[in-house]
Amino acid sequence: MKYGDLLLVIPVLVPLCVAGIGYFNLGYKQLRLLSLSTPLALAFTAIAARQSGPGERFGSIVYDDALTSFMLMITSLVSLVAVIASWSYLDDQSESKEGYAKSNKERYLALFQIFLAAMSMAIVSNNLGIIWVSVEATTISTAFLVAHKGTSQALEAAWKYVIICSFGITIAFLGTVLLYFSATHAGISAGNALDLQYLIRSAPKLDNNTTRLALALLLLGFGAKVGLVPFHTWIADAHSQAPAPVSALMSGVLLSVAFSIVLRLQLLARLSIGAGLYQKGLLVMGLSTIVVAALLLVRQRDFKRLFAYSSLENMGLIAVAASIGSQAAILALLLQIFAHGIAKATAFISAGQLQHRVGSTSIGDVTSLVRRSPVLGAALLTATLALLGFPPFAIFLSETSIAYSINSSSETVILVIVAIALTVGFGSIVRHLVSMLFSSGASEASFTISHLERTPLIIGISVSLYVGIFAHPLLDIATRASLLLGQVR
Amino acid sequence: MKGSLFLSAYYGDIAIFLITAIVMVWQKQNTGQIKMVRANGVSLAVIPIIYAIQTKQISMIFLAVVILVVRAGITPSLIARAFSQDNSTIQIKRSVNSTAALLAAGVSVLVGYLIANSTVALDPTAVVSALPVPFGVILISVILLVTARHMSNVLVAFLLLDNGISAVGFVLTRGIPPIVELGALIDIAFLVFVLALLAGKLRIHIDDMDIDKLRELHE
Repeated sequence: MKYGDLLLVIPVLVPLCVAGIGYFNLGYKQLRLLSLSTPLALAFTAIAARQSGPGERFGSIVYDDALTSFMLMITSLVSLVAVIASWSYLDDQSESKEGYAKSNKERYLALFQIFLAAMSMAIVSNNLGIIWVSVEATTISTAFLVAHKGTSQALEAAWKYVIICSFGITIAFLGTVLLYFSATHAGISAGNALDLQYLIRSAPKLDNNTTRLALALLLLGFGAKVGLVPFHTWIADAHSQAPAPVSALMSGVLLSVAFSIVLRLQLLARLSIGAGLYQKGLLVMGLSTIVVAALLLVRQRDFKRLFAYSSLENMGLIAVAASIGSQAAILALLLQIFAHGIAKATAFISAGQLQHRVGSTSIGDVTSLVRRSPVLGAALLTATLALLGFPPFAIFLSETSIAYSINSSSETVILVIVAIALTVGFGSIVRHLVSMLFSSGASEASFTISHLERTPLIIGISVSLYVGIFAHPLLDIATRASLLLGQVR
Repeated sequence: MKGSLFLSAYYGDIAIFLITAIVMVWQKQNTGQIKMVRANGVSLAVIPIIYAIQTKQISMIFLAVVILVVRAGITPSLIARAFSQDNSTIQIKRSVNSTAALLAAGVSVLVGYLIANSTVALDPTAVVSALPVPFGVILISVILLVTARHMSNVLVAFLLLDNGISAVGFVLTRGIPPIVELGALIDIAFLVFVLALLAGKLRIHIDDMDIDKLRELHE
């Protein structure tokens, strides 16, 4: 067995071991500390995989290229922020809930690790069947995390989340089966018929109607996990009811991991059946998602749902950029994925801390936040400015690049729709943010947040700023990934 | 097994697979639906057994046993157990009446035939020509899913959907790779377990298992 083979197993094995050993053999405090090893293992793999170069490992079950390293990198950073935020979330639970079982905390940490393992598996896997199983495993593991608070709203959100995502993923399973048939019919051996890289290399053989149907179903299925219309309804429910660190991880990474699969399938579609059907489907789903998200942002009264719909809007924009398909558009969307992931994680964690202090997620219940808690107010303001695309944050660069790519492809109508929807979304978020930060209200009692609570916010904002100002290290890996996936025009 | 006998057994089993799905649409009580989904799971497991007898592949028998245990045994039992505590004969609630649902099921089979046409054309063998049936079953399960108003009906519809997709795999390729099939089986078992657990907890909170009562997060 080669070193490279073992390398890609690390991000899956480490969280599974932490979950297993920690849950059954260690106490809460040890498990809490041990949970830090997963972000570190992910970071190590991302850096090492970047240096080892692309290749299939472990009998083609796993694969590493620039996109793998890129996704591992963002997962590592967001999971670091989310793990540290989980500590204070769990501490707060013990204070606020009488008789809050210690085992419940351990269960949370173990499920969190299983969730990370499933996501890592989806990132490194090269077998479409295993990717499908991994994505479904993320739904099952997060179902309990979404329902962790145990309230009727949390249970309702978890129920809807599991039903919608599982239905979508089951559609993707049908697509996988049909693609398998198409591949075996084209003379590809059964052992290679779900090997994504092998399929991409043999793509011209797959030009038939069954492949078209399979890829349409795969787009629809994995699109459900991304939150694209028509399967967008779970996003706000799950993100608003899940504990903030879980929302951070779901919004910051899970949606993007699902989208990275959509991106890889786009390459397969372009080389097999041509760019038309798949990219048009992606464009329709992306545009509808941006428009729906913008409309829902206008009438929003809940700040966690506000951030959830902002994620929806971002994923719609990323889908539109992917549908353009040029190398410049893919590079821009990868930057958007990274910048949005870390800024949204910070925003959700700020929102969670705010919810804990105010006891509500209603925008109307939050007033004068900058006066009541300057640190939390500043964190929420900075994260939201990053999300809105203010310079020097990286979303400014990525959104400008996406607009430029759309314009370069002479799709003026699309550019106009996107610009209007983004402006509506921008205006709504600014209006709600100003109301929460500066308006005066009945309750003006100030509050502080602990050093432990500040840590993930500082990390998140620092990374957002760093990526915005010194984009070079990220640009290098994102450029290599975009050269693999995009068309050079 | 001779070719004609194999085809008779195969088509007979595929017909049972479709009939059990259609009867599920007609069922008025959840216990009846659970029995039918068990029967559907059994008819699904018989497909690899027929293949195994024809090709003398022992691995197919193993796969059939696993399917039988999970799809006809464990998962329907989980649903039955989760919803049998206070009322074992829950009346099925749907947003459309049985006649309309049956009509929609008939249309589903026709649509399944149309969708399957291009794929059957790729490999027009006697085995693959049965493809419209699993496609029809998938569409029937979608009807059951979107018209379900009780949580148990949703779970049963999910099982049927998964059975339909597995049947597509068996009809087209005599089964997808075992690792994926086993992964899918574990996933569906876990999924039903998670949903049954959530349904049980929701019943404590909202004192009902009617999906229409899940309105707290409505925009």
